[in-house]
Amino acid sequence: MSGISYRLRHLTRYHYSSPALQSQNLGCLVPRSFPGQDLTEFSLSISPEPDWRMDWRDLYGNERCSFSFSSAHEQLEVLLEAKLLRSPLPELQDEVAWDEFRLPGGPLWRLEDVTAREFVHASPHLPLAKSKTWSADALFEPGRPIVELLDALTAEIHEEFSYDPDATETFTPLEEVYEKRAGVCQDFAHIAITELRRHGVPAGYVSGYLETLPPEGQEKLRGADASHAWFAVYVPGRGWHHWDPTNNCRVGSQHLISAWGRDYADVAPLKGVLIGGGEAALKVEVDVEREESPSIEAAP
Amino acid sequence: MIAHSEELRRYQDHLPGYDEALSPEGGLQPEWRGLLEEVLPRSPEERRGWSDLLSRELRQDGLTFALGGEERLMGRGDRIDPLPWILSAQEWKGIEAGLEQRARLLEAVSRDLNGEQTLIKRGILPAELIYGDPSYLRPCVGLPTNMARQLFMMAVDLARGPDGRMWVLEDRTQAPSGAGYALESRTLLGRLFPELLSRLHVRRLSGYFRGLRESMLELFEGRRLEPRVVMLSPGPYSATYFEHAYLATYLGYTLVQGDDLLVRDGALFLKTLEGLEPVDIVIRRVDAPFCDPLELRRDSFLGVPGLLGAMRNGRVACLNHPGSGVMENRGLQPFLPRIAKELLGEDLNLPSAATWWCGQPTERSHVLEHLDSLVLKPVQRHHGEDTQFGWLLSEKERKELRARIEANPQGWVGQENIGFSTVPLLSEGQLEPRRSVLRCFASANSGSYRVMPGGLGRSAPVKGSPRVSMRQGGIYKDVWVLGSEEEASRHDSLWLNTGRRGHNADSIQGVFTSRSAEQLFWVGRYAERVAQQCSLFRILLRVRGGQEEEPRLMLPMLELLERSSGLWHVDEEEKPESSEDRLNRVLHGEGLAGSLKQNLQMLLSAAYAVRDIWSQDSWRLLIGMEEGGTRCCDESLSDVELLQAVDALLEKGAAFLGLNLAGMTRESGWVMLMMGRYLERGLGLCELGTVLAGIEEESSEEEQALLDVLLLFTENQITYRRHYRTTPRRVPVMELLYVSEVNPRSLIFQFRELSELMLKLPEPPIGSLDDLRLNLNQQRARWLENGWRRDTERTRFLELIDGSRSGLELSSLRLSEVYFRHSSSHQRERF
Repeated sequence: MSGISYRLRHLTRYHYSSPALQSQNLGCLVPRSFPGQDLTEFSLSISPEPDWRMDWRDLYGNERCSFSFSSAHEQLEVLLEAKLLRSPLPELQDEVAWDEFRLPGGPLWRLEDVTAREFVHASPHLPLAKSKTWSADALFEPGRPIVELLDALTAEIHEEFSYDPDATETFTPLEEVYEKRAGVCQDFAHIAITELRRHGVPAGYVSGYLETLPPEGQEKLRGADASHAWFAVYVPGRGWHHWDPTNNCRVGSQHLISAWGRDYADVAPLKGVLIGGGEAALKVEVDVEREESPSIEAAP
Repeated sequence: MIAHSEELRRYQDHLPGYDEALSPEGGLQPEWRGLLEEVLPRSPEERRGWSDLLSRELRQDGLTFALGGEERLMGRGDRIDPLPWILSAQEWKGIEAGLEQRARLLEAVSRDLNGEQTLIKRGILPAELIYGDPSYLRPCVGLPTNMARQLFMMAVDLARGPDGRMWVLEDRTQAPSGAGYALESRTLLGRLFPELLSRLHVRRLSGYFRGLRESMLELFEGRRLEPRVVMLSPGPYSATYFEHAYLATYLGYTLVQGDDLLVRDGALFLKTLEGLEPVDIVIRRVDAPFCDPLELRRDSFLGVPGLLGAMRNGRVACLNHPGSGVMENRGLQPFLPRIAKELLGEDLNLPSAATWWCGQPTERSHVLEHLDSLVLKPVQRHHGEDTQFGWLLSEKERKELRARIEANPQGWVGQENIGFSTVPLLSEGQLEPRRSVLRCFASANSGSYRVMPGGLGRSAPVKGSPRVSMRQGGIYKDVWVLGSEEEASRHDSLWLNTGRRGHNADSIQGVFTSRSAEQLFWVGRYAERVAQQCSLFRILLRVRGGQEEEPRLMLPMLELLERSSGLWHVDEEEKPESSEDRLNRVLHGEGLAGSLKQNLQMLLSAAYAVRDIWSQDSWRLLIGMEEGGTRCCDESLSDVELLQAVDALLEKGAAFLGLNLAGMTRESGWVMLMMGRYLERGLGLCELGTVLAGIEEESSEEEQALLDVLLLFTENQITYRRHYRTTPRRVPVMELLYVSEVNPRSLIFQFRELSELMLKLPEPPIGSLDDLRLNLNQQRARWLENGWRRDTERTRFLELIDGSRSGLELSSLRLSEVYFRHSSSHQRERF
């Protein structure tokens, strides 16, 4: 079978400053399968052993895990180990202009594509208000091919926004990201999605991983990789196509896909509501290891 | 034509269109004859009396009592009209069948949209209409209902057009309200016209509610054989809280708020004083987006984290299904006839008012061209925009509205102006036609849906206006469906037969939620505190009025009043100088914690938060206390009037406590209420002790007078005279007030009662008060031996008082820790 085989390890550990008395948790960690990615082996282990656990699949086909604790615990550790076989995603073969399928009214839409139309609406994290400080409006020239538009959009975001993990947090309002012109992969994906949806182009949020290489001459450190996020655009009749604004590139076989949804809130890797727990110190380790041939150098 | 046609002629002259009672030819509609023959001969004064009676009863029952909430179905300023809306048996048959079909249809649509979405995939419904709706909740798609229906209860607003046909204006599927108000309206009108109701064969409502209870159990598909039901309310600040409490009481279900519930091991539990009790069915009166902060709105404190997970796990049914809110989207209306054909293979027999969704280009143009004749509505309720009547807008307003619609066409519908028929209503005792809308209710049964034979009418508060919304006080009407003699005489008791399983398995009997327990504890404390304050006021007013001989009593009594109100230790600078001002401050210090006014408000809030447990009489006494408190704070009252007002308030308070003492079952709730009382009374005695120990001149006249007044305050004057047959002296008084085991008003007695009550709690938590009792008894021995020796006994006594006070405060704290823990268990989100 053609493709690249990866081993993925994703460890999340919370250490509570005082015991968490009870908690309800929802994970979105097990990578989904789809044409282009086979999940060949996986285990999702939770420690301490939760009092209840249920694995299920959400509306978008993502693998979810609900679990809860009803007695005091001082830390929570969730470890995903998976083996993935990744093959290239299909590329757009023809020159489709973005406004041929802009909503409402674009002529390319057929009934078969109808469920993708939900990705043009506002979602919990993305109100779709036009930012006062920045917009990509100038890129949306009539008749411009979508591939060219997306290349330009990712290049523009990569150029205009700086990568700064200290600039934002998980729920920093998007307008603040626009103002600061800085953020992380999640923010850049949100910016791209907002600009696209505002122009009637359906766009979704994709969470996943990217294989990184150590600086030349050094060993790759354990746990040095990170989870990643980007966006995908739906072209009627031609499916979803992924772009990575953080690294200013089209998504290739080095991107492993975990889940997709309307925005981060739909696919948060691990969230919980708990009683007690004090301050929660978070530690995350991600390792993406390829079983053959080298990959590109990129930042998450 | 019946007599008094003069009034009818005048009525007819004012008719703007179709009227419910008068036929277009001017004759009385036959179904209205019986009522109007009863009403027309009565004088306007007598009719006004009906209206007054209804308003009073409404207020006393608490329907118009609301702590807050912006939109409410019923609140202050609202009223129930004495005249019902009457529908003939024949017409009702059509409406009933139409509503039954509509409920089936909406159920089918709800299943589709929260499942396979074939309506969207086949292009029958535009994707944008649903996907753009904030009530379309993704986590609820594919979520099992664990109930044979997604829509268990629904409501429909109907209006009659100029052609005499009934049209559907809107559907309510999220958490339909109004059924409780319909029940209350009928109860009240039943007091006005008992004989008429039976003579006209008006169909009863109880069968509907009994059926609802039975079907709830029959349709449950979860695991337990005897499912248990709770009603989940957003709480006393919600606009429809009264109805939640009213229905929960009527149906016999436990009324709960989000933090009363807990998900554990994928199942749902109720936190009670006795521990966790499993819950199987939740009647959801919290809007779905707020019902699970883990999967839905993360900022909600009204829901239960993990509720959706427990549903997915097959352990809990939630009514209505959290995904059912999307059915309220007004843009669905124009598509329903086709959907009825597709999903049911039926023609829709109760049509919607013609509605155009502006998300479609042709429809949008139609709406924009006819802005001046249409009713314009946002597709979702509660999302910022209001319904607009195109013809009432100014040119400028119309232009602005057009711009808003053009900016967000998917967010708007235009609806044909049905006009709404008028219904006779009593205004200042005179018949007057008012445009009205009819809300009807349906609930699932094993075959399909049953429709409540009646409903809730809502009339325009302003003559000639089409607006029946309730912003500035609405007018509600009971709805009388006339039936056969047989139909009307069938009296279905809610309780006679409770379904296939024999007993009331569905209600969680005899348990108190931790939250209710805490509220009752505070009801006990505040009721006692108010009573103490009132007694002190009464004495102070008498002293001030010279009825008591010693004006010098004023200062120590003021100190006592301020101490027991928690206002003694405030900044000296903030304390008013004159006795007059000090008294007034405690009486009606606006927003001042500890003032009588504030304490009454706290009492009412705590009591309202457990509205479902009070009998009607208890609640009326509470409302009476609120009114009494307002009167006491009226600054224009003379001293004599004020004294009367305080007396009246005291009586109401005593009656409230007495009624509960006599009538409440001796369960955890009662234990909590009484513990609150004893604790508060004990603390009051501690404050009194401090004042007592501070009196300087022993054996003086002043001391005697003060002791006398203190006996009066503690209601011990008679007891003292009977026991000691002397003028008040310190040692016997102190013995009576602090260490007498037989005096129910002594401190030691409060300790004893508290200790006994604690033993009744599921897990006695609170150490014991025995040490304190022992100390008091030793004190008693010393007093008997040595008398009151100021140098030694005073310090010892103060220490004793301080110890007692800390003991009581500690008990209160421990009680909170062990039993009211939910309130401190703040849930936090972790990402």
